[in-house]
Amino acid sequence: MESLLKILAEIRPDVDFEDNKELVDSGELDSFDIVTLVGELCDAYDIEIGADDIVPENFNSVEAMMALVTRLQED
Amino acid sequence: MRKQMHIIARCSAFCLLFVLLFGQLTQTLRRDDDETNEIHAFYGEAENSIDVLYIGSSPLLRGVSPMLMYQEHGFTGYSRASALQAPSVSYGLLAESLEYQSPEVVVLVCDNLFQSYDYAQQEGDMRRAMDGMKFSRYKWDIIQEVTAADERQTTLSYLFPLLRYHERWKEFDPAEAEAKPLLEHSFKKGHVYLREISPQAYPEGFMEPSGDTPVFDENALAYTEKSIALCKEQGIEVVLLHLPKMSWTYEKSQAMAEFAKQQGVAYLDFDTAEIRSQVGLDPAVDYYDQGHMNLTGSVKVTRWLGNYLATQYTLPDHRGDAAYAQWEEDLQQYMEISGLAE
Amino acid sequence: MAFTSMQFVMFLALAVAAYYLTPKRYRWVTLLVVNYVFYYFAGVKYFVYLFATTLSTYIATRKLGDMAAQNKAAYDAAKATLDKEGKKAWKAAFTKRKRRILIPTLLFNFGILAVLKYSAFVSENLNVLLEKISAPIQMPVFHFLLPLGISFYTFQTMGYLIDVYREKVAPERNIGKLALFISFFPSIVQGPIGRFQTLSEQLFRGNSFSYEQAKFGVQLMLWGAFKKLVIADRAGVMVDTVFGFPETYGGTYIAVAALVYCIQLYGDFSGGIDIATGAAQLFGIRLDKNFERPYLATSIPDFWRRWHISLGAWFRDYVFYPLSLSKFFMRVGKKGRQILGNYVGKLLPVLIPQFIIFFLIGVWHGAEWKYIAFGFYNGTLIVLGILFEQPLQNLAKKLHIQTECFSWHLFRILRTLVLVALGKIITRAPGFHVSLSMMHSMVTNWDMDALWTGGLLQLGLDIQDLWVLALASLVLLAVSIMQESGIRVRETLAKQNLYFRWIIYLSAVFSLILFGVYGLNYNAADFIYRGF
Repeated sequence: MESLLKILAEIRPDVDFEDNKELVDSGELDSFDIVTLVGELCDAYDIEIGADDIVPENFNSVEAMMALVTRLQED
Repeated sequence: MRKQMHIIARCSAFCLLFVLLFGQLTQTLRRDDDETNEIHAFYGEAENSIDVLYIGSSPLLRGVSPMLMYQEHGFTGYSRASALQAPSVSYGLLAESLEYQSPEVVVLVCDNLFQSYDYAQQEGDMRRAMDGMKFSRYKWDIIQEVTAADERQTTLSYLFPLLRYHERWKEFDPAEAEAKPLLEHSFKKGHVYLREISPQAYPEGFMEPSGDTPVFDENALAYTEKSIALCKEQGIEVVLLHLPKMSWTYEKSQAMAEFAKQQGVAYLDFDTAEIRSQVGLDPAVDYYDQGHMNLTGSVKVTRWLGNYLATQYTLPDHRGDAAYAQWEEDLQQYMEISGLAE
Repeated sequence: MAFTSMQFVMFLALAVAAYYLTPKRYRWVTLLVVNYVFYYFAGVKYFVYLFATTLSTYIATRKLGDMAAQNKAAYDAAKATLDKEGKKAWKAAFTKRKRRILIPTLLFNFGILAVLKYSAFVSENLNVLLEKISAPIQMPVFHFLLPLGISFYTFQTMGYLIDVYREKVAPERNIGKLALFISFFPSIVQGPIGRFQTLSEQLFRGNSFSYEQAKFGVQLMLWGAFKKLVIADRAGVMVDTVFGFPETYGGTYIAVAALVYCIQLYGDFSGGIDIATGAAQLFGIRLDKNFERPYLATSIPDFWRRWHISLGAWFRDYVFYPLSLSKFFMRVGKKGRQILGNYVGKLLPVLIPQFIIFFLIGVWHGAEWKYIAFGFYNGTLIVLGILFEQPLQNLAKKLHIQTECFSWHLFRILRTLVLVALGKIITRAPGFHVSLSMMHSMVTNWDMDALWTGGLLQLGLDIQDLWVLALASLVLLAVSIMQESGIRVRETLAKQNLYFRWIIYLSAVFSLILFGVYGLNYNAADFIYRGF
């Protein structure tokens, strides 16, 4: 979780990732941020995130992102 | 259930309000036109009270006064005329009029037999007449013919004139604004006279053979024949009428006379030497322009025509008849306003 | 059948009546029939393309669905015996098999669109090239008439196909229901491009009549008609005058025309969308938003998130993500970071696909060089916008410029508006070179005085029309600001007093009747008495 927050802070230092549970729906994270983020996540966790995983539900909160990473690691 | 009734009631009230406002706006923005008013005021005549019906274009509008004929002979008449009246409109007006009236005689001014009508170019003339007509299957037929010929014009704009004249909001003057409904009753009986004088002179060789080769327009011919047939069906006498026009020719007169003979109807040509001498028109004072009578000219024309009709046909004399009291009132008003009372 | 025609209103009334008179279970069938009747008025011969897309998509998605089911069963059985590499290999192999269905279907459907829309352009330009190199051959040039809505329904249907391929949605087993999704008449004309997930349930279940929804739908349609007939068509007169005679109307007139064109295009496009959305609402169906006050955008990327939203979203989900998240661009990103530094390199997988997308969006508008130029223009602006967002923010901080205040907000809006207006000159001008000379003239012949001394009245609208345009645009602006602040206009209106509501409704309807640009122009001269 901590490493994830670090990655996020590097990409968008101005966004509050701990409290915001509607990162995508509220427009805080846009499609560009997501692409950059996905690149970092794939590198950091050795997973493959495909276009079909890009749904708001997976990226609306840090917890959701963590869940996605975990699921892809086990899949 | 109650809620549904409530909703339906509200919607109905709203629609009603809309219809009322729409009507008011229509009347405020329409063109207030004498011809349109007169054509509409026809409906204000008591049913089956008109003895002679006149249909045609502007020479008729200016040149014949049914009111004067009533004064002199006692038979009633109404003129449904408009400038550059299309043949389809003449027929439609006639057919519609016969549903309200049963005249003994129908007088048709049909100089338009020689004219090709262009619905696209002459929308103004079409509307002059049609805006005064109530909705009927005859109006519908004319609308269909117009919209088929000119795709820019729409059925809806004829059914709801506001859709045509909505841009007139630009001419809206709040100081003068008022809803001007169509005229409901006319004392002029369709005679929209003009007072101005434009001195004319008979051209050289007037009404002598000139080598003119007049041709009837197909559409005009078809409608005129239809009008005549309709009258015959109902046992109504038909008179084809040509009123004074400086640009008339001998050949055209002959063609009309031939046509009338073929159709078995009477033909009166005011430009023939015979009638001309009897009417006694003075081109210096009786013409509004080369093709129309002014008020004094129309008096002379009406006098002659009235005599003709009275002697040729058995027409009733309603003077003194209590049922036609309204005509006496209208006559008074007509004489006063036209200034013919002196 | 134009959205602002009486035929459409009558058609819609009959369609709605038919829908609610049908038993709930079969309402989707009525809707399908209604769609085809609507499409019939566009031209019978175009049905063949609609059917081709429907049939090919049905077959492909059914196959993909079956393959997915079989694969899942097999994978679940074999999962335990596979290691990480084995799982990866299995997935890759399955994807490859799915692609053998997906790719040909995509090529077929987009191919139809490409050929119909672009073959003439390609042939003509090839011919110019061949002539230049004195080659003895010439390509045949076919000018095809485009079937109604082909750009829209192809995209919408291919989106569905890709979603089935991605196993995000189960394929529709009933070809009639699929046909209904593909041909839904309110959105087939000009969008919004819908998603199967959000549209299918609404379309297939029979919706119950709701007075409130119907009322809102009619109100929305009225609003759309107002935007189109009172604002857009009126603005169009001025725009047509200037763009029709760019040499005569140079300098400041071009700036005016560009801005007015922005108003016209928004009024026309969003007005049409409102009519479509309102019409759909009459059937109880909610379409996706396509516009969110685009001219209140603060940057070019923000603009494209507010303008033609469904198209942008489609490109984002079906082109941008697949491209930028592909292995190829991941590697580009890595390489980029090595060569161009962390900041730019990280953005490369975003920048290049974005440029490609905006190029494609430009070309999607039509087969002309000016749309290619438009694509380049927008692509460049987007790339620059993304690249310089951070540095500009840092610069602003250094210069102690307040970025949270209203004046800065306004500055960003106006800046964006200028950039957008320039882009519109490219699309509206009769040719790309004309737009360049127009922009040149705008700068060199700038003369504000000409405008104030009656110049504005020379563009085809008299003073009264200009007033109407200005006031109507203000109304539009007011409503936009209300919506931007979160006010839901129709619902707020519904809560007001009856008298107030009725005044608003009646004013709206009569504004439309009086000020709408429709029918023959009223020219008093036509009605003057002409004797005969």
